[in-house]
Amino acid sequence: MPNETIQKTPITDDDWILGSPAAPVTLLEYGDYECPHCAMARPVLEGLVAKMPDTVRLVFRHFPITTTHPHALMAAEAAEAAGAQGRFWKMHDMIFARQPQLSYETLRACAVALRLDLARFDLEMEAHTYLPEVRHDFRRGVQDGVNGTPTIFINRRRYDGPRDRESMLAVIAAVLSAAPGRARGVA
Amino acid sequence: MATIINPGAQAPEFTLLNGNAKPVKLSDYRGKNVVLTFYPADWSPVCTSELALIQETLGEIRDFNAEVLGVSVDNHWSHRAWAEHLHVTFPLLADFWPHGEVSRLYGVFRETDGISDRALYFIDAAGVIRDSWVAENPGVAPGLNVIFEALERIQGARGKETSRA
Repeated sequence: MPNETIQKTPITDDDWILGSPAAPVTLLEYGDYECPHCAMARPVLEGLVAKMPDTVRLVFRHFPITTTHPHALMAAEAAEAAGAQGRFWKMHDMIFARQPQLSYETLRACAVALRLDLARFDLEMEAHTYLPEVRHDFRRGVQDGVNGTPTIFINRRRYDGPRDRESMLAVIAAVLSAAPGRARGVA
Repeated sequence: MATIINPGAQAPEFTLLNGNAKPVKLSDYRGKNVVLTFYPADWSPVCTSELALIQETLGEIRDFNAEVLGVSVDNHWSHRAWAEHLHVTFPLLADFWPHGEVSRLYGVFRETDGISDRALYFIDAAGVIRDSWVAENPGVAPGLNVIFEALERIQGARGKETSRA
């Protein structure tokens, strides 16, 4: 079996997308809110979108590793609950910033800080309203070939290289120079 | 690098100690599909995430009438401590003495540094090797798709439902 891994699942309207829908470079991240490597990747990935908003967009899907990260699933559900109230990315950032002390109280404090409708937040967390969304992301990750957290796909190809800003900028430049508009004789 | 065993061959029999120092034979798993996972070392970062991912999807893997066996050259004491640390519940087998003998038998022993390659063998219920995967770069773990696509080829996509009974 070949080692190269291609993202099989399409990006859809129900995905969380940061940046322009028309951006030629899509970074798809499968991440876990309790994973330190994901927390380290967050400013790099979001920074790329901020630096090149017309060129790069970031898609985030949940991939909680519950056996080693007991709060990861709850945190993913909380991000979805905030997303249902229009605050996904803000919640996403706040959860990562509070990663060492994740608990329901911390997540609820984030909801308070974001001025979410708390009654709705509590109700939906208790009912696990967004668990199916999180599970759906996880299943897509299995299909796509997640091999750790975070797993990043750049324009559908799994990127297993270093996740520092310089390396990511270099790979994005390479992807852009090979983009269809400029490609010569490449299918 | 040694040669990988081709699909269609009978998987070589072995007996290794698990983390509780109990001998485990491959043939104990006849009737089950086996995902035989060779990895370089306990406690290393990539192996950690690889085995944690397998543990996370163990229920789905078992839906394909399959069990997972991990193999590295670490001893059974290390395996036990590491399994507890990672909350891994499938057996980790110690290919410790004679050092790397089973890894060598499966063509995944690295003579240069004395550890196993990162590799997967998919063995069916009759003990026949049906598929394999070897990392081109041992620092990169296999995607979970590799495991599930291989199991689907062995068991059929419908295997999931039928084996759930």
